[in-house]
Amino acid sequence: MLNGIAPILIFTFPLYPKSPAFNALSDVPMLRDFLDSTLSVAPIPIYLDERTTDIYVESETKAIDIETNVQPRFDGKKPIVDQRGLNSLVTINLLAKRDSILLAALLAMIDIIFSKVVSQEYKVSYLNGTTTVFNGLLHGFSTSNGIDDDLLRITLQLSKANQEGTTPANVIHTLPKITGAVPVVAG
Amino acid sequence: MIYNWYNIFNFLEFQDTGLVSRNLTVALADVGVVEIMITQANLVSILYDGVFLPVELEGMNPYKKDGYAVYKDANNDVWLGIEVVE
Repeated sequence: MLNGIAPILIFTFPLYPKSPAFNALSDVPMLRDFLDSTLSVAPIPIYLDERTTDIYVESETKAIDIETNVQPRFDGKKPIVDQRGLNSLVTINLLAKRDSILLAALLAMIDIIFSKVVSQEYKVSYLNGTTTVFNGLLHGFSTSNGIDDDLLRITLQLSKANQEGTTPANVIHTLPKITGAVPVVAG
Repeated sequence: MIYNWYNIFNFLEFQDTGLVSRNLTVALADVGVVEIMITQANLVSILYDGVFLPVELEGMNPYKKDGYAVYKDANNDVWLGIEVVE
């Protein structure tokens, strides 16, 4: 197992600011990776182990959404099919003891991420056996208290939508206008 | 009537695809991003802003309706016209 003894959540926050200069470097893969690795706060791991951290993975699900556009043809030939990846979500259901210190740290991490959602100056990784999310985004988070026990039920959703190659760039061409009773093109 | 004309697609190229319909998302100068549907049944037509504009319906070129128009030129380019309101 990549994670070792127990499932693990890893939070990473970069030190460098999002600015036009740094954004211009995002197309240079090795330089961007170098900045990501050297100019980040040390990754913050939280093990999800009921014996050591009082946080336990109850269940997890994985879902992929793909948009499929089918354009049929008159002559019965194979239709033109366009596909693009909408989202790849891992949903993790956790149980935690309310007085767990690591639970407080987890909730604090989520609050920090919420303030960085627009800038996306954060990354979340999750490793649990065959289920892995590397440098993903937070898609959803909710908690609920039980009345009859001292447990907190947590639902955490991580998205891999920021991975390369799932969605084509949205290029919208601007068409110029010609004014008149009918369009007359010069030449 | 005066229109602002926008070159949307080529008539022959669209017929060659054999498609029944195609959705386009384009930005029209001075209008913005719009959705245009091109359909092919008995006639090739444009559907824009809820107005159906068949190309050369009954020989009318340009074909005009409700402030919009469609025109096919000598190069088989199909233009969408939006009436200029003064």
